[in-house]
Amino acid sequence: MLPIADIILTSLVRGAFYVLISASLALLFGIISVASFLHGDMAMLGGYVAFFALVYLGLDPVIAVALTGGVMFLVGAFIERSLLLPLRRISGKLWMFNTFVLTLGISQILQNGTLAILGPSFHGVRSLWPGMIDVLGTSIAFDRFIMLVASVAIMVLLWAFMKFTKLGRAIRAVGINEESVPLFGVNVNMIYTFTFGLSALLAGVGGAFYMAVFTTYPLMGVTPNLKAWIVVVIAGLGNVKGAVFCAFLLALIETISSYVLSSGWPNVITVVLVVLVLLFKPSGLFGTEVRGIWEK
Amino acid sequence: MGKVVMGIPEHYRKILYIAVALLALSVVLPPIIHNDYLNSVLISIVMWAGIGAAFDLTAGYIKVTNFGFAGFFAAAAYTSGLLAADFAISPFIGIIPAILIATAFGAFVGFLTLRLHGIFAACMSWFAAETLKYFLAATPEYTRGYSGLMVPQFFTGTATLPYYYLIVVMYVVELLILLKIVRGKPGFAFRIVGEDETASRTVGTNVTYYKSICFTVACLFAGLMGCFYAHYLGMLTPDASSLTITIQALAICYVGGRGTLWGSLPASIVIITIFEVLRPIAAYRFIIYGILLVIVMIWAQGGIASLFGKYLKPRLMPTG
Repeated sequence: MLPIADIILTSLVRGAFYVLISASLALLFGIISVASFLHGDMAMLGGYVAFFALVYLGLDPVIAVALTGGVMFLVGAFIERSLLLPLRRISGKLWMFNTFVLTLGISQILQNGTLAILGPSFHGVRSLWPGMIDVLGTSIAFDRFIMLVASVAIMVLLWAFMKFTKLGRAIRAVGINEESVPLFGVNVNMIYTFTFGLSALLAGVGGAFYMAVFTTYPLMGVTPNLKAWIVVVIAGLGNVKGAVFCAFLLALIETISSYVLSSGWPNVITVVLVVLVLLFKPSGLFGTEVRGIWEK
Repeated sequence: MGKVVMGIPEHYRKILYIAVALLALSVVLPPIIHNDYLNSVLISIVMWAGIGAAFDLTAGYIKVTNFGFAGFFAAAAYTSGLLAADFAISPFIGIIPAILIATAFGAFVGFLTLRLHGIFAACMSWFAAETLKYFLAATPEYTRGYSGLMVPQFFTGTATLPYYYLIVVMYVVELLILLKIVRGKPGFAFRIVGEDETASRTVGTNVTYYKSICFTVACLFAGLMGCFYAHYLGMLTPDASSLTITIQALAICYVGGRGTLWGSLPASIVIITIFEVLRPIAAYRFIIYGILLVIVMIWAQGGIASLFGKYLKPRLMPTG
């Protein structure tokens, strides 16, 4: 008999972390057709920023997370301006492959640069909000619960931003047809930079939560990177809404299989699952909505 | 076009002379210098050049960046390694089933992925390699998992010179076969498929067929290099199927110049030399791959091969 409440809670908390990273990747895919390999490392950097804000600046956790978001936004915008913009000028049809390779290179620089500067040690903080809380008849650490709530809140904010603000509408318009939006007075390059910054912000905040609950270390981004790719492929490349559902779905599958199977096999299951999705429904479970964006 | 002597145009003869001279030097010099450290550096240079060339066949010609390259590499390495370790089959014989397995795996994954559009194919083969990695890690009773599979080596004793000659032979054979392939009709088909898939389909090219062939051949040579890797190092972990191997192959291929096949050799010389010079920072040496990749992607798409541009026939030029 499986402990159902435990499973649901564990996968919700796990999913809360996946959701931010996957949304970060899906946003890049869906709006600016960037096959990013570095959002995992954005999470890693976000974890470090939050760590330094908490430990060395002694900031309040909420302010520290906000600061992390701001810093990561600037980091993302800087990377887009300095490296991806020149690449866009010279890439034609192979733009997406090129971004894949370029971001892979940047991710190597970030990972090993952090390793060189900060060393291979783990950085983490003692639980920010100590104590346990009872949910669904089972208890859960309070900071994990906060992380879950905060992730959901951030996703709702993101949705509202994309739906109701002028900038959000412009971003979606670029995702649909980037040739015609300049006619309506949208600065496309600015949208690219902003979207990349936004995506770095999401990943960075996700990393900050991860650091608060577990720890961060230079190669922390490798697994989230793979997980986010799995989520985004299952959801359909570039579908942010689908990515939200699939992040929790992946977390659920992982949690169940880690209860049922011996160690090591849950990883096999998830990757086999994604291979099957690619085979039988390459556009993903939620892929119909944004079909065609990555094929240009 | 200059004179044609013995069926070889004059233009090529110069290149041929240079290649033969380099080959002769590389055969004659190491036993004279007789330095084990130098030999081991040369072995990794030639091995990575071979890996880069195999990677280049898909990345440079049909423009499919194979993110699962390490999977095919590891499939052969583990097949040959397990045959040698568990059944005491000589590595020289075990290499054949190993390459067959890698080729079959490549044909299977290629058949499945190449129907898919660009980025999907890359994802798919990446996930295939990850599946293999996790599978190898999850079955330690057969593969020893992360505690490592001890693989018997090609040669007994510690001399490195035999390995050097073996890898040179492997590399030369690989390069000759690949150059032969890309020179003929298949190579032409690979290029137009990479250039414009829809247009090549319009003129009657069987796109999926040529893509699969290209992918499979690349996997075959990935397997060959995987076997060498296994029986040279004498130790395998599931990380042979991880992204780090792919990143190295990719970086060497891109830095050398895509679509040249030979470009991996200068790239490998440059990169391995940098590593040997910067040995104290070996722990984070991948930062160099990162920097080189960024430079090659943004400012020097042709890679090292484009430096030799004016001496080359267009066929040997990087396709960028």
